[in-house]
Amino acid sequence: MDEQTYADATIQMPEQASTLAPEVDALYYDIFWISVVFFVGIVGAMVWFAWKYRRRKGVTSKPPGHHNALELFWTFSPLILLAYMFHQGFESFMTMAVPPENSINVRVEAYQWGWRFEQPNGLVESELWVPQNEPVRLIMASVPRSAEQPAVLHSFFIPAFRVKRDVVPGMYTSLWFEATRQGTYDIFCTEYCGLDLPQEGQEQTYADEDLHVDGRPTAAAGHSGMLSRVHVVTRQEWEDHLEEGFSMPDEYDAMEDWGEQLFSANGCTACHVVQAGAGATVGPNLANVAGYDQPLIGAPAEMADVDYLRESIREPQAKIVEGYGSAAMPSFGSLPELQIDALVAYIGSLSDQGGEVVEAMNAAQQAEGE
Amino acid sequence: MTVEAGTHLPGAHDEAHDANYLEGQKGLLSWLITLDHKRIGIMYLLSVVAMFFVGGVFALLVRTELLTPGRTIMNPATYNQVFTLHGAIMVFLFIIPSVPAALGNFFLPIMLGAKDVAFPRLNLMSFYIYVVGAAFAIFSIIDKSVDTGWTFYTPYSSSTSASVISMTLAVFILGFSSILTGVNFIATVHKLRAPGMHWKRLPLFIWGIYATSVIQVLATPVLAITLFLLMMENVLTIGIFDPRLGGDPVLFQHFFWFYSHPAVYIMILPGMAVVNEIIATFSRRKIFGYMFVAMSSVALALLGFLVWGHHMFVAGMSEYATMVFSALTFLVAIPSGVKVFNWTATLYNGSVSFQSPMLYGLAFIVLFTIGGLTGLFLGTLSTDVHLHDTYFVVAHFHYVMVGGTVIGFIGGLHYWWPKMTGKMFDETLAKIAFTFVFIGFNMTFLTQFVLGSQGMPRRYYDYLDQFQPLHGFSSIGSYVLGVGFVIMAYMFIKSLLSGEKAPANPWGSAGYEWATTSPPLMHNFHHTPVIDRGPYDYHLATEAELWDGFAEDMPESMRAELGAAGGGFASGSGADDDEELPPPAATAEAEEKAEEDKPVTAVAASPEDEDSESPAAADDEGSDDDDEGSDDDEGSDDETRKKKASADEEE
Repeated sequence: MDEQTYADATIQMPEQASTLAPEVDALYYDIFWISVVFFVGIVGAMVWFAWKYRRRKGVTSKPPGHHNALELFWTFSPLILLAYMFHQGFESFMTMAVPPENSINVRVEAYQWGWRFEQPNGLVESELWVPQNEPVRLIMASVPRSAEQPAVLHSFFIPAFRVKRDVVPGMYTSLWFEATRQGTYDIFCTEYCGLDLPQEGQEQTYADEDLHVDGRPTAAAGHSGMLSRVHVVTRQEWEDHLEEGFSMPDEYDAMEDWGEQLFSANGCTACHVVQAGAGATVGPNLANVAGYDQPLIGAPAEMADVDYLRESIREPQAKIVEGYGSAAMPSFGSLPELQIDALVAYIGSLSDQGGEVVEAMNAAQQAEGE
Repeated sequence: MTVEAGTHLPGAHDEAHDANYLEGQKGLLSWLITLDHKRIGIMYLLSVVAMFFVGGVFALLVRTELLTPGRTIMNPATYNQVFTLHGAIMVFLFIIPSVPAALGNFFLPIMLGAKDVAFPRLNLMSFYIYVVGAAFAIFSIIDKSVDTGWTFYTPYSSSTSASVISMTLAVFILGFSSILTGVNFIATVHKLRAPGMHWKRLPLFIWGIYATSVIQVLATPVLAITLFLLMMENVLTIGIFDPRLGGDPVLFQHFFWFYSHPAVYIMILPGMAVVNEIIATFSRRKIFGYMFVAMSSVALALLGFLVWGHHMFVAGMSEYATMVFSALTFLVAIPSGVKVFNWTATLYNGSVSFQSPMLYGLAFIVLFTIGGLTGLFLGTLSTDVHLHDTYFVVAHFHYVMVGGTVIGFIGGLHYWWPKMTGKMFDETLAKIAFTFVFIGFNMTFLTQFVLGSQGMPRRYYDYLDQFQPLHGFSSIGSYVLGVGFVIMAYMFIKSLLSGEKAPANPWGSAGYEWATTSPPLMHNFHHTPVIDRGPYDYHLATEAELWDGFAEDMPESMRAELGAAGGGFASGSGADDDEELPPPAATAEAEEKAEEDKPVTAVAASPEDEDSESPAAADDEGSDDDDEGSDDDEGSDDETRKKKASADEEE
């Protein structure tokens, strides 16, 4: 495989960033050129005959013919090409189906509308990090967004790797790839998985500009916003990344700064606005929440302290703020403890009453470090 | 009209006989309760065209939303419902009934030389079932805000509301309409062919519709099973599709495609069937390899049942099942290729004219070739993994369904318009409309192949900014396409209002349906025709006839004088007991087939009222039944000829 070259994006295909890509593309172009030859042959003959035998005075059509040898020829000779395509396609398909034994296993959970990736060391993230030139096997399951909702079909697709597999409720599916190029590539959901329909008499709660942020659809757009990215890095960088997930990276001075980064990395911005007085989208506006009483559905109001905020991240359905009964936030309880603390610190920093929360979280982080 | 042997005396009834089907009876009620296959065909035509318009508007809304990233004109929830409506309406309410129910109903009996379909009341009933099904489908989509796409995959479709059950029920009601039409057509083709029309003389349009009918009858019951299982699951909470109850959502996909893949052939075969007629007429030549083309329709119908799994290569099926489905899928390429090759070969040595129906016929070959060849990428396992559920698939099936079936339908509408309405249309406008449609269609969908292979998934409300240029171009193409259809609609309406009167055979076709007047008589023919040549036997016509039309085109009086010697598709005697007809005109063809062309015996059937369903008469010769199935052995030919000439002269 050392001699294998990996092409850049062409008009037809995205760049080749996995070991499978050159194989798939080679067959794609074979079929493409076979098709071009047939198309030019058929349409060329059609145009030529139509013109050559166009209707003119004094020229009539010749009596009909049939030519059994010709019929049999064009009935059976294409079988050779078809058998070639079938065979090549099946060979590559079996390569895709059987992961190498030394693959790194990453567990994937698909929910409406996002992805969670659990690395071998237990780190859970919304974007996938993989080392270059090592086979990675994804073991995928579809999970419900909340207890009342069923899990639905999704499909995991990385165009640059030429891999795709449906994620089916009630069973595990898997795929594998070996990324060959460092860089960041898009992940799409390709099995239609819908949207929250507005309930009877309910207004649309998000602003139009929240549907599309930084050139990408957001989760507010449902299926089309169920995007993620895969980061291909060196083995060392990958190991460092896995470690960093469990402690605050050095580039951050305080938990709330790290929390801000995690807040957008985990897709929270899709549903939560954080500017005071800016209204709300799918979920509540998180400015000035910490330290204030929260009116709850079916329960007395409760003050948003550290425990309340942690619970809201781990078990969003436990206590629901009035007015958001239909918005079912998925649980983020699989994030590492410290990341949840960082998110709590960030939410604390968004509130004029949140100083206590921020302090408590930074203290906890320092205690951990010692 | 030729009056023979005194069975028919001129009388008060004559006028009704000579009236065409549009003028024979008046009033809305006479349409709503008509048993005339032509009027039922026209009612279907109006319904499917209305559905095409609605589905087309939704298509333009979808393309407009995709013009720019982010919100363009509607929110995501509306978008999801709009694309669902577009797909469901176009597939179930427009494409499936378009050619068979509208054009098939109108022309199948005429092309067989029959007075009507075998079961006229059943025919009317299937129309009303269609109307009920259509109303139910649209009501459940709107009422339940169905946003699942036209495939209704569980569990999403069962999570939102009870929508999947009501939609499957709607599709099943519509399917029932197809079953009844299918049964009717099969019976008509078997029992009501005019004397002399053996299976080798069956127009290829009939072959295509016949194959389609077989699929309709066999595949649609699967929907009933699916519906039944869904209800069992809902009512008795038996886990069948729902993983929470221990069911398997992939099973729903199997059931869905076990119906819907054959349905794809229900959609494309009639399109191909129309194109056969167009290409033969406008190149003045019998379709090359007639039997191969006829049999390829049957082969497609049968293979269509074996390849449903190719919609599910990445759905979590076993690798070996996947392999089998891939291999079978490639076999579909063979009969499709046979058709395309034979159409092209038909032009060779022909006399090709480029009137608007032929432009659609040639466009069909081009677009269907693209649609078929791009299917190779999707049948191949490893490339399908990359392309599955992307815009490549969207482009592929639009090339087949729109570039194939819709273009075939539109071509057929142009081709038979003079026959159906008795009016000619403005050829220049028709060609302008064609140009817009052809260019617009390719702008819209050729672009989508590239979008798909670059990785753009389908059913996306919004997309990454990098896809904008291609999406924008595709949307502009859809507007060009839309303009083409608007021009076409104007052209047809203008023809209805002020079109020139159409002659019986404006294209100079040898097809049987052109032998009757334009528009056809109420009973299609004055006498049951006796067929003594094939539907594409242009070599039996003189050069003058090729230019001036066939003998059928002449006024009845002149034909009677000439004895209809030249045309070969004469109105035969519908009358005397065991009267032997004179042998057919001694032409080259007739000599060749002298053995087959034994004198035809026309058995007079008891005079029937037009309303009475013909099988009663057909039962008289139940002995043919077994032979009818086998296509062309000599024995069945003779039997076929002895078919009763259903008496036109009532009373």
